[in-house]
Amino acid sequence: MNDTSERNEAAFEAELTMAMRVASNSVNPDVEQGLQTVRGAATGTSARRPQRILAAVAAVAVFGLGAAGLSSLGTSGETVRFSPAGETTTTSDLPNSPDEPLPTTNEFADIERTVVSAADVPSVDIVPAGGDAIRVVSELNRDGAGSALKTVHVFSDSGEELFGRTTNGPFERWIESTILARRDVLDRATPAQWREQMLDAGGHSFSSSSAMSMRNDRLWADARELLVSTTLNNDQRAFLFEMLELELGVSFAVISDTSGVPGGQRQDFSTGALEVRWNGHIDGLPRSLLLGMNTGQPLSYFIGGIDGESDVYELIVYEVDRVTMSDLQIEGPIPAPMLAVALDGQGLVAIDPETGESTLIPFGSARRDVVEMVEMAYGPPGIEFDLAECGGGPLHAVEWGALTLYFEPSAADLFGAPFLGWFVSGESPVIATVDGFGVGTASAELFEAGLGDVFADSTLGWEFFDRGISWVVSGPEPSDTLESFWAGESCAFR
Amino acid sequence: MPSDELSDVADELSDVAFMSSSSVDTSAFDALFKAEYVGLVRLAYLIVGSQVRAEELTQDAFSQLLDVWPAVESPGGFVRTVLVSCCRDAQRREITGRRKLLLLRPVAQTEPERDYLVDALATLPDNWRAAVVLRFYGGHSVREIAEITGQPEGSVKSGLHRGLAQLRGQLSP
Repeated sequence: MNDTSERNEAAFEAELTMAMRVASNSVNPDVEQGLQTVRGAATGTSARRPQRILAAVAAVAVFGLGAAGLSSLGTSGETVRFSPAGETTTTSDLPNSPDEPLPTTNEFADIERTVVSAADVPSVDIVPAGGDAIRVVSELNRDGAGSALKTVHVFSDSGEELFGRTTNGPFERWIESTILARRDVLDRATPAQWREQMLDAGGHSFSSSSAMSMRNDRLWADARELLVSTTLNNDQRAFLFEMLELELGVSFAVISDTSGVPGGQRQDFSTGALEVRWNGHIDGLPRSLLLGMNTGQPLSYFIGGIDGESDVYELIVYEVDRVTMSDLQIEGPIPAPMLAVALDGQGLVAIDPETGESTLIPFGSARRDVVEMVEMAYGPPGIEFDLAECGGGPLHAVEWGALTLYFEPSAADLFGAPFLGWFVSGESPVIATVDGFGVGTASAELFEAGLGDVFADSTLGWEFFDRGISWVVSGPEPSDTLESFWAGESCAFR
Repeated sequence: MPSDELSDVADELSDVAFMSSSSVDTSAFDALFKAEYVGLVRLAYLIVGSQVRAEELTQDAFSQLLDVWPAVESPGGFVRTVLVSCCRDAQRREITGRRKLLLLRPVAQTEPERDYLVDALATLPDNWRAAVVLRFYGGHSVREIAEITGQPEGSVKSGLHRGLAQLRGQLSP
């Protein structure tokens, strides 16, 4: 590099430094206010701290409940009861091996789940017994063809990447290009040879340094199983487990295998098999499991799937008996929701919290778009199920606690299934109409807004229809309250 | 785990968290906050491009520091490392979120007007942007940037070189 070039570079760097100072000088935050916010968060006087403790409680509760699953019903930290097909069933144990049959409705006990959504357990930093914090960052994106691209990184508290695996393309194609192409060799290979083969496959980053391996060993020494979020078939899953065993020294046992269920990975809800579909938000889940790894508590989820294209999570049973609760530290900021959602007589309204811009997502919109949007506001849905006997015909329901969205169940393109209606039956501070009306709103407020002039002759109670929404209040008086409301198609039996 | 044990666990966690914060030397933390806050918000602003977000992320980083304050040897380095990591996570969520939002609103979105430099920085990949800001605003060495970002020094050097080349192409007349 000649002197002129070096001088030019030095000049540019000096200009860049100056430009950065000029640009940043326009930013003058209020220091005292910032300090008060941080102090307030620490003492619980600000909104942030309770969320973090709730996240800790929620995460601990999930992992402390043993044979329990996850639901995003209600408020984080709240324990709710899961009732498949409208009936309360209970179970005290879930199967511990893939050979055991899944429990049927009659064998279930009450399944108490604590509300945890991805928004409640975001970037969790975990301090294992060894004293080193680790952080998991996982991302699930989709390429232009809609295939899932998976990235998982595990970082130390100093930011050192301990383990990273990134797909260069859709995960399924990566599997095909490796295991299927080399199956005959890999079947006969030793674990070390597997590792070499996979590294030779190219483009796949596995931590291979001895230092990282030692670190992995220490961090994951007690891990016996790890949640894997994939849409793999049995062969692919077996291969993934093998590779993770090589890399992390953990062993896997699939507790539930939904891939063999007729119709793909669909579980028949009406049989009473537990079905919780976790769509898209994988960020919180792996971290939750790592948290569980360090709590010394048995953990089991039962998660089925809808079809082979969904974000299906397999059930893993996990036990750690070394780290005690007192060793556990939980930290992590709670990110603000990306979106707010309000209910409208024509569909849903998506509101950008930063700009205030709103967009109507009308009935008829594709299911994928609607569900993704609501996930941005409320996290992943709790359960999905089919309703075969609604008055207007069968519906497919996707439920976020108090809010249920209805889609056409028989659409050939499941993810393009049209959005048909919504229904709210529980109280929630974040599930409301554009005007802020939700379950529990006093009738007086509704009347003041011009609603409720005429009550319909309804078997559901004090019902009126206005602004495209059906409203049911507890009585005709101003002191009564809104009990439920819906728009579009619903499954209200009259 | 029985619900009463669960309740005990939750209480224990709360105690641990509040104990950590209550045992902090208030004056020392406050002094550090006052000395570092503005600079770190400005650093975050250059990385994430939004003052509001930069303040939130910086406050979050200090909150994390407050929770572990007695055990941290280098609190300034800790909060800076956490902040850069938070910025990176925020950027990733933002990208995913904006991408999804665009699915709903195909019309191009207008961003609030920003400084041309911030716009240019926003075009850099996360790691390059963080390295460039830490180097030319923060004045950190390659080794320090590697420690803060968790990247190998070679990657930092590469990111600086390529980031500068890209910025030069955008900013030079």
